[in-house]
Amino acid sequence: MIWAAVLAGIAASAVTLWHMQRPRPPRIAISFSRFVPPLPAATSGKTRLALTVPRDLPTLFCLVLAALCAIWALLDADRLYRAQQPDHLGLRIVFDRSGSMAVADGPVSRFDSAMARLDLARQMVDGAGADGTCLEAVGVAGQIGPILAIGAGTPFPEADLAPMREGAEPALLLEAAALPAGDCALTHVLVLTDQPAVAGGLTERILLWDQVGAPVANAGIRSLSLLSGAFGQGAAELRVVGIASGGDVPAGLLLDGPAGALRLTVHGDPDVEGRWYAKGPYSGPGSYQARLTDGGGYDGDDLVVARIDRPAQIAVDWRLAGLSRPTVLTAGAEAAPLVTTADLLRPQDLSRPLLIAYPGFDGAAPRSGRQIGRFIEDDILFGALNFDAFEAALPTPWTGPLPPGFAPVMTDGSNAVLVARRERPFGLILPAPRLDLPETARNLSLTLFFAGLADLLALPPASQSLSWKDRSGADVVEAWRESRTDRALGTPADLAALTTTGTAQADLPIWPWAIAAALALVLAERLLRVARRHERLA
Amino acid sequence: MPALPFQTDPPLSPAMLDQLVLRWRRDAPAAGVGAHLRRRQGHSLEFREYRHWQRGDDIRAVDWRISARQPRDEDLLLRSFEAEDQLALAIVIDNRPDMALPETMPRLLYALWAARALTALALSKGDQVVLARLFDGPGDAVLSLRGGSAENKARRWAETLWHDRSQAKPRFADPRRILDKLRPAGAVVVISDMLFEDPEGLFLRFARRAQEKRRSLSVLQLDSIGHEIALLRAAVRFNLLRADRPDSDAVDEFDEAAFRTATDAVTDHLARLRRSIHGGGLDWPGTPVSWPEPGSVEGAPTSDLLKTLFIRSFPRLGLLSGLSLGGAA
Repeated sequence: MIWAAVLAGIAASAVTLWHMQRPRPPRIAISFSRFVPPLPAATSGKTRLALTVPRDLPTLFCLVLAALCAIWALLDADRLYRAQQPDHLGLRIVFDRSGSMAVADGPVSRFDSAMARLDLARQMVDGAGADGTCLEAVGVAGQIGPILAIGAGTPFPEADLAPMREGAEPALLLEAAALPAGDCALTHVLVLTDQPAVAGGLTERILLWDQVGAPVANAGIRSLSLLSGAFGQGAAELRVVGIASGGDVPAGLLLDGPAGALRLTVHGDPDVEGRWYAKGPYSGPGSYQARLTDGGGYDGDDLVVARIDRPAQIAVDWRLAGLSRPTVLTAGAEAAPLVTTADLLRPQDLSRPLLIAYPGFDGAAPRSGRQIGRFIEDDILFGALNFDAFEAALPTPWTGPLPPGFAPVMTDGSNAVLVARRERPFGLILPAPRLDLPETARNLSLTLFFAGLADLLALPPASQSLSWKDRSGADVVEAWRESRTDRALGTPADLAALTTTGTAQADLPIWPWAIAAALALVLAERLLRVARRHERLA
Repeated sequence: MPALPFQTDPPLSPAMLDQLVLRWRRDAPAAGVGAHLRRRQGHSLEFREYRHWQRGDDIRAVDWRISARQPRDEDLLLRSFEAEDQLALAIVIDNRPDMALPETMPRLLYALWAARALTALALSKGDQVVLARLFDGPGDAVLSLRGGSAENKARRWAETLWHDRSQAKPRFADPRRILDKLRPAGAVVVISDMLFEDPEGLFLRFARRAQEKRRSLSVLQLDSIGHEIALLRAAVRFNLLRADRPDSDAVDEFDEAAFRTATDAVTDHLARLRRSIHGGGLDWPGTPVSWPEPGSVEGAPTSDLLKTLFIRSFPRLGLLSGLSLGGAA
C-alpha cells in the first residue's frame, strides 16, 4: 500500500512536471533563410518549466476536475469499493490446532484425518478449472495464528498446523474464517476441526465446516477448589470437579498435597449429568495435584495443579469472657481479628479487624413499644434472624458515640444503634451473646453474634492458580475446553462445493482510480491545448 | 511500397484540362513554317525536302545514298523533316531542396503539377516537350518527350524528382543541354521561386540564350515568403534552420524588423535578377503565384490547400495564353 502510494506520488509529480513543461520550440526551415538577418535570441523560451495558464473553458474545466480528483484521493484514501473477481477460486483453511486434535481417530489422529481432508480440498480446487486459484491456511488454538499462503504444488506446513496444548473455541474458528483477505481473494472458507458446526455465516464467502474425529469417551478435571470449613462445624476440604464425556465417571482420582497422596472416591453429580466430583482433606497451604488414573481419549485434562495458600484454621484474638472460642478457631495474636467486649477495648485495638460485643441482652422482660427502627439489609448478619422474635426481645442499644469509622446497620425506634459496622478494617458492634437468658433470647443473641463472627472471619476472595499439565509436565492452556471428545461426528462437508466458481469480492482502494482520473484529465487538457495550437497555426 | 502523401499528377480533372489551351502568341516571327504546326496524323516525322549540308548540321541527317549520286563528292544532301520546324516547349524545374518548402505546402509539388499540366497541354497540340531540372539531383537532367508514351515518361520523371527530392543539390545542372534540345523554335518555362544564387552566371547565360533566335523565356514564379513569415509569426519562438548552423539548438524569436529586411532583400534580389536576364523574349509577370497566408483561407496548410491553390491559380496563368516565340534573332 505504501509503495503504491509512493508510486502514485511519483507519477503525479512527473505528470505535473510534464504539464508545466513548455514545448520545445519547433525547428522550422524556410525557403528564404539566406536573406534573413540574424534573429534575436528568445529570452523567455529558455525556461522549460512554467505554470501553464488555462486559455479556455474546457482546459480550465479539465484542470479543476483533475485537482478535485487528486484532493479526493488524498482526503478519502481509505475508501474501499467492492470489486468482482470472476472465475476465481480462493480458499482459506481454518485449521483447528487445539489439543483434542491429537486424539486418536481410529488408527490415526484427528489431525491426520484433517490433513487428509485438506489434501482432498486442495485437489478439488486445483481440478476445478478456474482461471486462478489461491490457497491459504490459518491455524487456531488459544489464539488465531498467522495467515499462511500455500503456493501451488508446495507441501502443507504441517508443523504450523500441528495440535497445540491449548484449547480452542468455535467462535474463534469463525472469527478466523471472517478475517479480511490477504493476498488471496477468497471465495471459500473450509473449517477443519473436531468441533461441531456452530451458527454464524459469512456473507462474502462460502463457509464449509468439516468436522473430523469419531466420538471418544473422555474424563477431565475442570476445577480444584478449597471449601472452607463450615465455621464451627467442620474443617476445610478440597473439592475436585470434572466431567465425564461419553463414559462413566472416572474410576479413581489421586490427590497429592503437602500431607502426601491419597486416592479419592469419585461421585457422580446428581444435579448435572456428566459431571462428577471428589472431595479430599485440606492439609494447609501448599501445592496440590489432582490426577485421573484413567482420563479417556484426551490426556490434556487429566492432571491439574493448584497452589492454595489458605491456612487450615483461622486464628482469633478472643477476649470474650462469657463465651469460649470455638474449637475450629485457633488463638491468635495481635495480627489476628479481635473479638472483645466493649469494656476491654483498648484504643489501639480500633486499628484491627474486630468484633465489639456490648451488653445489649440484659435479660429484662420485653419492653412494650420498642421496635426495630431503620436497618440495612444484610443477609450475612440478619439472614438467619427472625425479626419478629428479635423485636420482641430487642436488646438495649449501644450507649455513647460510635468509634471512628463505624456506621449504624440497625437502629431501634428511637434511632439508637443496635448494630454498627466499619468497612476498613472490618469491624462490627453488636450485642454480646448470653447463655443464661431464656431460650429465645439466648438463641437470638447467639445467632446474631455468630453471624457477625462469620462475617468477621470470612476470608476475602482470592484468585487461585490452577493449571492443567500433560504427562510431560508442560502446561495445557484451557484444557477443559477440549474435554468433550464424545461429540457426535457431523455430516462431512461437501467438498465439491469448493469447485463452484463463484465471483470473489474483494475490497479494493478507490484512490488509484481517483489518481488515474486526475492523470487522464491532465492528459485531456494537454490534448486540447495541442489541438488549439494547431488551429492557431492554421 | 506504401502510398506517398503527394503525387505529381496535377489535381485537375480531365474536363478541366480539356478546357485549357496552350496558345502561342501569333506575333511570332514568320520564319520557318509558322507558329504551332500541328503534326499530321500518322506521321511522327514528315519528310519535307532535301537541302545541302551546311556547317553545323547534324552529320547523322545526311542521306548518304542520294548524296552518292551527286556529281561532286563534297555535295552532301540532308533530309529535311517537317518536325524540325515544329514548336518545342522546354519546362525547367527548380529542384533545389528549398523548393520542397514549406513542408506543409511544398512548392516543388506545385511546380511538378504545373510541369505535368503544361506537358499534357503541349503534347495534346503535337508540340515537342523538353523537361529539365535546373539543379543537380535525381532523374534525367533533360528529357525530350514526343509521341504516345510521352506522358508516362513525364510522370515517371516527375515522380522521381518528387520522391527523391532529398537527393537534390543546390548546384546547377548544365542548362546548355536544355537549349540543345530546343532547335529550331520553342519556348522555355522556368518554374521556380527565383531565389537561387547564381554566382557564376550560369543561369544568366542560359536565360539570355533562351531568349535568342525564335525562343522565349517565361518565368512561373512561386512565392511563399508571406506564408512562411506568417507561420513564424504564429510560432513566436522557433529554431530557424540555417545552412550556416544546421545543428544549432538556438531559440530564435520572431522579429518583424528582421523579416522586413529579409523581404526587402528578396525584392532587391528579384529585381536584379529580372534586370540581368531581361532580353527580347522574357515573360516574367510581376505578380507571382503567392501562397496564401495562414488564416486567410479555411483549413490547415496541407496538401489539400495546395491543390486548391493550384486549381485556382494555374488556369489563370498568363503563360497559358501567351507563350511567345519572340526573342532576339
